Amino acid sequence: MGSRASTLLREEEIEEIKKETGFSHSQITRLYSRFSSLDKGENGTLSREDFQRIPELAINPLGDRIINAFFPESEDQVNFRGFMRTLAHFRPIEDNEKNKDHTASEPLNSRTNKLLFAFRLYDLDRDDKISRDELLQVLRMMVGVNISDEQLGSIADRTIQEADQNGDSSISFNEFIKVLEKVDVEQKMSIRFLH
Amino acid sequence: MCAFVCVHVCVRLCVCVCVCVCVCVCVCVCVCVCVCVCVCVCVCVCVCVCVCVRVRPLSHAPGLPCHSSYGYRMAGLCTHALLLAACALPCSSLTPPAQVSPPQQQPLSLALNSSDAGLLLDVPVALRVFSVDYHHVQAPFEIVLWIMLASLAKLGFHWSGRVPAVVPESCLLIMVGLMVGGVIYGVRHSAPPTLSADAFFLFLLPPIVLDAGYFLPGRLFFENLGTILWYAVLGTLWNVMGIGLSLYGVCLLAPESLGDVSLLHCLLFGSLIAAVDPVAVLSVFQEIHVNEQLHILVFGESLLNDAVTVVLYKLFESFLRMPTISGVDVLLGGCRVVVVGLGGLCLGLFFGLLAALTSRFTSRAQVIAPLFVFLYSYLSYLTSEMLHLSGIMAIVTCAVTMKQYVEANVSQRSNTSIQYFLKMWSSVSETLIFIFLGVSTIQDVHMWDWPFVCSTLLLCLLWRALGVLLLTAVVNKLRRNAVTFRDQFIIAYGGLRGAICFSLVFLIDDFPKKRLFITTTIVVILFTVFVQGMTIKPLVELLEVKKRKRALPTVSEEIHSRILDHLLAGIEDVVGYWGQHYWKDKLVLLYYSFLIFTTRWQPTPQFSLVSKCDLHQCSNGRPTKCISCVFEFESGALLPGKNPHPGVPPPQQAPPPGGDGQHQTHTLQEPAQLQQQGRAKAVSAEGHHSIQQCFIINPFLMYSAVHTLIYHHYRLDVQVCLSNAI
Repeated sequence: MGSRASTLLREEEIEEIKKETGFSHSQITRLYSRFSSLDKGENGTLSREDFQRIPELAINPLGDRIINAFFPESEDQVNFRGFMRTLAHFRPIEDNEKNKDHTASEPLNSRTNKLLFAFRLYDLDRDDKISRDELLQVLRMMVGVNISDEQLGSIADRTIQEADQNGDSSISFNEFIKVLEKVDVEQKMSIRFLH
Repeated sequence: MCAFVCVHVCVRLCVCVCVCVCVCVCVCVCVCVCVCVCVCVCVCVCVCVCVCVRVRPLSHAPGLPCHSSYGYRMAGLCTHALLLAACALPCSSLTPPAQVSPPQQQPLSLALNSSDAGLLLDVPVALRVFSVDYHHVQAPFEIVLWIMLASLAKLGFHWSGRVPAVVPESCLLIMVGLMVGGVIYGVRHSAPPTLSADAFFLFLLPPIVLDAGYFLPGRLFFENLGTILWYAVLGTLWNVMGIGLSLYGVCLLAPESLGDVSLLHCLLFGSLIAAVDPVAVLSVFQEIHVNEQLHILVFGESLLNDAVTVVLYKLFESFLRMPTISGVDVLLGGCRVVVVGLGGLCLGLFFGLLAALTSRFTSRAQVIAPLFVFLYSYLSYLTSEMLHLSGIMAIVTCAVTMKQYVEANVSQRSNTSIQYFLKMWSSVSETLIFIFLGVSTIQDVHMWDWPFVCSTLLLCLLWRALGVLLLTAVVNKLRRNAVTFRDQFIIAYGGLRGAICFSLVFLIDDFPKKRLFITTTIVVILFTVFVQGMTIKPLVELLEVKKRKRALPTVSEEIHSRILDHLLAGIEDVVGYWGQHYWKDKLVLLYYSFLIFTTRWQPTPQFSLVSKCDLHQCSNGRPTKCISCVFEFESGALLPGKNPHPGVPPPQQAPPPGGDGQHQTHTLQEPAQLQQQGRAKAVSAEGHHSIQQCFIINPFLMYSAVHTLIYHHYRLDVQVCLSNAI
């Protein structure tokens, strides 16, 4: 791992991460080398600038929001544990996990947690509701077409109308889950982490 | 001189076979009562096949005179009447066949015989007021009549009630072809015209494949591309080798009848019989509505295995002609597969991009814009056939490549024309192919050999099933979505053979057992189309294979799916994983670069490459990172919030219209009023498509603060989108 002695990954840490996230040993080491390559400051944590240096992420319309998702509330640095915790959401759901009994804590890559991650992309102010404005913001980033505000507004309204069940003109997390029940979220939100 | 016999086969579709005394093939369309007005002259043999479509008026019992009100069917009647009139013209005879006695020229008052083209110069007296010259128009006339027969048969099929539900269209068309072939054979006592390989490969196959390529669900196809290639290349190789070698084994076991069939012959036969046929698959799977993944797997395989089939077929054919074969030749054969496949792909890409470029400039001559689509695709097909590359791959690649650009660049009407013409031509082609398959089955000489035919059938099924099982077992480990056993069964069972095998078998160099091969091919094709084609639908129901989702995804699902795509692409970038999304994003980047490249010279509102500068949306207020930064070509508006359509008045504060009927109006409504209405209206397919187009990607930055241009592709029919969002 080079001469960065202070940032070497210890076995106990690997075990803890394994238990928490479900990644395998080789996956963790591989992701650690990726983490180190991103960490230009070599201080064991990543800042927002480190993420913004990834060129493709700059192009991604949701780039900033994705970056934000890595950082816990009002913090500017994320360590390797936090990094892995976020990435754990995208681990594919294994077959043997599907039938496991529900333990006290749901694994990070369960369907609900995946959906919660996606929900938080919209819900910037963390009030557990996607308001019309938040939806409009995301739509505007996605669309960018020669479409006026009124038109975008109608589309946003249509979206809320489809989801909203309690009539508060915003989408709560449960309504969000319901809307996406036909979409194969487990498959869509999974990446094959190579061994 | 004329005698005709009308035979009604009263199964809603009445086929009248009129045997007149002329040598011409005319299609007389009779309305209701089969009065065949066919005044034919001369002593020759004529076969008139009349397809009478009984136009049943809505409120009248059958048996009433047909001149009762038809209402909207008048258009159909007029065509029929015209045809009737056309057929009323007497048909002159062709050069009479040798066995017939020299024609007694007894011209009727109406008709004249002209055995030479053009005017009769030997008649002394009066000027010919009326003459018939069949020679002049013979070739196109007969072609048109065949196409007419095919189309009328298809019409009749759709009017025949319950039958389409049980019997797939392809089967019925083959049966019609069999009937026609039988009639022709019965009358002429010689083999009816067969489907020539040239006509098939050069004229009948391209429209179908073009249509398939143009309407290919791109995203699904590329997501499953690995699996499809796996099945297409390896599966076909497996099938060819398996069937070829085991057939050889069968030949060895029955040396009396099959002794002179060598190993190479068996391999050659295996190579042409093993390939799944796109035409047959398309026509059968179209009606069973299985889930899209399964559909694209079978269909994609049938398209892409052409490369392997073509190469193996030509390879074994040239091996047959060579005196000796060395290992080097086999190796070269392997290289040829790659060359043929990739060559076809590159040619297709080249022509597709050319077409995209050309369509850019068609704004001033919109009427001919659709023509370029067809010309370039056909050109790519012909070029690759010329170079002995895979024509199917070329034309499919061409269609897939040029589709996005062409749709962006031509007007809405041209787009509709393109789509309709494609569908029409492919439909006609397909119908003709199946009818000719039926007609060509009636041959003079069939060579039948029980062991060979039966073992071929069995081996085809067996090797396909084994191949699918093994290949899927391997590929499931690499796929996100495993292919279930039910899907595997349908993939194996849905491996239909069709006209490609048929044409290829005719192209074999002559050798003693060629007739046997032809017969066997016909049997296999008929078996797969009839037995497998008819039973696959009940099997799908029985096995409860996952079907295609009928309902369109809701607007929410659409939006959220796209957001998830972006999210996944972003996460893959963070992880440094070159996954599917990474490559997809790269391709999209390439696509947009090309779009910019093709539009740099002449930005006009037509192409609508517009963008709207909306600096307020920039996160952190940094213009260089502004995601939706844009500038407008059309109206020159550069400031955010300005009305993008200067000609359109801003939306009125109109009171919400009452009642459901008002929902069809295309007025813009204030969003606030939508909440008051609170009514969810179903989104139509076009509206949905427009909404979908709204969310097609977007902006990307040029890596420089100065050149923050974001080009975007605008294909939104605003009114439809709005009226459906309301």
